[in-house]
Amino acid sequence: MGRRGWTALVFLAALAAVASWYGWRRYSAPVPPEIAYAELDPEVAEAIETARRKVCANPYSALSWGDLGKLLRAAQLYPEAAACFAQAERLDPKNPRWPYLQGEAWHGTDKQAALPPLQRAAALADNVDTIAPFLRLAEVLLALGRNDEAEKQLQHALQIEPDDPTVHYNLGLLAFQRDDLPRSLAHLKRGEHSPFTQRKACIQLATVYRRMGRTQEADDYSRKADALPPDSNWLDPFLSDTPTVGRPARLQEIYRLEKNGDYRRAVEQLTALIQEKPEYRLYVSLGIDLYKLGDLDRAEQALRSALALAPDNSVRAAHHLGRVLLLRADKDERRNPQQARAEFEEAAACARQVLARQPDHAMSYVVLGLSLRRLGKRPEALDALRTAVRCNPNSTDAHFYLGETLAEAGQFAAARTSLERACELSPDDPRPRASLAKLKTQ
Amino acid sequence: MMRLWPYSLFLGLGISAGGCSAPPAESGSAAEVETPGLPWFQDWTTEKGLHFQHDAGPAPGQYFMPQMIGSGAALFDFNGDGRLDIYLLQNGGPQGARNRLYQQISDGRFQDVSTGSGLDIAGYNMGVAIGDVNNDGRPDVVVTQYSGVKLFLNQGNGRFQDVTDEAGLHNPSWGASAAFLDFDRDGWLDLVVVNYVDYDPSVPCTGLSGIPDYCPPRTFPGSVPRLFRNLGARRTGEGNPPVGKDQGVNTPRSSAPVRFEDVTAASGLGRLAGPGLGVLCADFDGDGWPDIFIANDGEANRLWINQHDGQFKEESISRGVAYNAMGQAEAGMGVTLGDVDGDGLFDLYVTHLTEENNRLWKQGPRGLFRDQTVQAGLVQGHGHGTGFGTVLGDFNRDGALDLAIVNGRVSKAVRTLSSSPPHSGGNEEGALGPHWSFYAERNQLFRNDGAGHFRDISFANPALCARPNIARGLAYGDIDNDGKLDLLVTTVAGPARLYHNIASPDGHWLCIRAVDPEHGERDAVGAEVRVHAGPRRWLRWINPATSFLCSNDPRAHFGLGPNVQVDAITILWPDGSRERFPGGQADHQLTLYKGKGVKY
Repeated sequence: MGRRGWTALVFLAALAAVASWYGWRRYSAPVPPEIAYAELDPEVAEAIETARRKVCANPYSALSWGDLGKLLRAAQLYPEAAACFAQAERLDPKNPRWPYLQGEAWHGTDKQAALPPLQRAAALADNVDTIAPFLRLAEVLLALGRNDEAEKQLQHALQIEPDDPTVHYNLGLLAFQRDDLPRSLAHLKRGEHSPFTQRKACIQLATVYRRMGRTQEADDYSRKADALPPDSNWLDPFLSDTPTVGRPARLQEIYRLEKNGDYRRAVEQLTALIQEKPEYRLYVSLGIDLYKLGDLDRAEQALRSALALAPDNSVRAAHHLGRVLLLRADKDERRNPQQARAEFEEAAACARQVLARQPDHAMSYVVLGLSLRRLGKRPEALDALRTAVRCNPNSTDAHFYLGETLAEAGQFAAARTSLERACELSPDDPRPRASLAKLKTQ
Repeated sequence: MMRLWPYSLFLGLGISAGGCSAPPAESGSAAEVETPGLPWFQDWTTEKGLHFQHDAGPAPGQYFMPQMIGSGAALFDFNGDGRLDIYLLQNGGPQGARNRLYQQISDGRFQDVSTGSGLDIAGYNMGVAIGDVNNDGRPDVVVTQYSGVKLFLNQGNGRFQDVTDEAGLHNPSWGASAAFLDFDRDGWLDLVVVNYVDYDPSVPCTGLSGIPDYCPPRTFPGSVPRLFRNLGARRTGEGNPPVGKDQGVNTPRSSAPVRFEDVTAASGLGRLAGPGLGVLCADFDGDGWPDIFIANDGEANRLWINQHDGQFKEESISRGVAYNAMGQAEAGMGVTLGDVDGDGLFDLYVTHLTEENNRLWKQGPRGLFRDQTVQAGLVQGHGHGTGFGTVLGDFNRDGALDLAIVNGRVSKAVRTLSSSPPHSGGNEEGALGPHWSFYAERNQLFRNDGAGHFRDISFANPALCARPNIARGLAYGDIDNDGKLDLLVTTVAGPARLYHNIASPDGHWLCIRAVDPEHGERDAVGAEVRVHAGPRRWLRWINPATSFLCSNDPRAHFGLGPNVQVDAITILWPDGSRERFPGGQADHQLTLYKGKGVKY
């Protein structure tokens, strides 16, 4: 064979090698996990399938794998999410994001499995300007009782963010585990006023003070902790782009807003969801949130819409509609007594509707009793309110309104008993105290 | 070569573009697992003639929340023949299957004596508490329900009468666990009923993926527990005398009326609602008065400390039992107590979800608790589950309390990689059906090394731990009176199972019944019993209401290890008095009467 022949042969061999290599890459490309879509929310299923197709088209793109992982994590499909992040890590091994997200996916369900990827993330995170990898790793180590290792990570985090309340809170826990109560106190107090740690810091402070024999401070912090709303999650930059896909995730977000008292935003999101697809429970939640915002007209509208869709065994819409009508009638009474009377009648009817289905629904007896009282039917009102107390002897409202109605009826001794019981049940509620004070002057 | 250069460069580039390094394989460590030894339990169900299939109620596709919680069971001696009997609850609703009462007969087998007993009721029956409410020496029965509570008075001769209305017991909430205690130390057993959530069946629930499932408790507001004070004979003012021991327990029912007063609001317990599931009554602060611990599902637990004046003060946070060591609330279900490290103080164990850890709070100093789950070796690796019923008992009688947990999920196991559910193989799992098998998990057993450190011995106990189930109740008792604690497991939509303790080699033992002759010779619920042998001390309680939705053998069981002789037995009675009783040989049952010991 001449020189040309050899050259051609080498070229063909090289071409064959490259073709073989590409062929091997293509057919042995990692495949994303199979998902059974049958019961998934359609929006969630569509989003996952779109992301999955992207991965199949770009099987060597860490970003594509990461995007799919984030969607799976948002849908609580944690093992599948972790598998996707693991693949992203293989493709982009120097990026701490992928092992971090892998570990975070396991964090809530299996801390042992979360540990190795979080350790890798922390090892890669030296040049990253966030404490997240060290903090998350420290939390897992603390939960596993590996306190010395947890401390190292927390100290590292402290060098980056010396005032971070979550780091100080965790250092406080660590010191408590080691029986170093003064140090624990010092760190916990650094978290006492942050929205991310205030409640849990107060809880832990109560425990520490109790161990130190300082019972009064322990009680004070216990009360404070009980009165605080849930702590917000600390701001995790690796999770800031977590998608909210599908109605369940949006409902979860609405629930979170309601829990934090952000009814205005909850109303916005509920309205949007209802426009997409009206549902009974959404109308009920909308009605309740509007009621809490004082927008009684729109609350009534939402609850009537709910009633139109109500399943047979539901009482929530009727009950809350009764409450809305009662409140509005109370406001309307001076301006328009006739209108108010009609609203009181309808409130009573709503309460009766609930009681027909749920004969021990104490709050409906309260609504019924108050409506009857305003309609001038005092004996029936007293019957209803007494029944409310019987159904729920621990309801402050039941005792309070019974007490007020008894006082109106001139039954002062019985009124006093009811109002005193209301005070016992809710020492911080000013209404029964004010009524008792008024009663004493009569 | 110059002509080859571009081709070889091309070739080199092509080769170098391929390949990637994989990260190191994941490694995780499971909880400490002991190499298999001889099993401690064998399945006794068929041999003992126990045939009970749980009715879980409405069609599974409706995801009716109460069917995921119930039901429990009781081990108690209803006819006073010295043999434990069994009461099993159904959850099929008003038209469903009825609760069953099984009497243990002389050959050790169980006979269904439900018909005509009065206890064979249908309903959404959750839990059971056993206690002698009228001090006539016969144990009475409380059943909690999804909306309601029932009290059945033991009339003797295997009959029980529903006296709920005349007793003044009214609980319209979803009742879960219940317990008897004498919170005012007047000699009459009072009742605490823990209530769950204010459930609305019209609310559908899904996970974030949209998969329909049972609602989590946070979907609904919690309920307040109820405390009922036993008015005893005081109500009639006639001073009905207690039934003396010569009347015997099989005589017709005495006419002593039973009346309770709802003191929830007055006691302070009505101030805090929560999704309560588990309850445990014990003296948490060491002042001799019983306190009330409530395990809440997904919210802070509550510890109500008895103020001695009919009121209780909530102190769970400062005493360290509200949250875990990370300051997080967990899903509290089953509760048990026991001195796991032999320091003379009882410790508290509460079961949680699969995604969480069950929690061991060790007491020390008195009245203060610290989460020591990790230190005790109980951090759950693979194989753990959503725990419900739980028992701390010395199963192998080596002198250290071991731990049993029965598991079963409340939400679907995460699965999407295949269309088959996690436990769909095998006859047993297949028998659960396509709906229930998503919730089945395996039970667990842990051995205490004597210093309060535990090792997982589930693998060595296939009868109890190999079969996935949706377990809820776990009741314990010495069914064959051989000095070893046996177990009864209830499951959702499955059979109840009885397990015989066959642990060997094992140590010596003592089984003590503490009774109060002044109150009908009933069990002295709330008594603390200490057995002394040389430098060793063991502590137990007369407290049948532990675990989840269950009532247990009211006797105190002690494993004594190698000690064949006991030096003394001391009892702190529920009224605060203390007595010492002489020791003696091990390996038998004793009945100790209040007033017959030496006061100290």
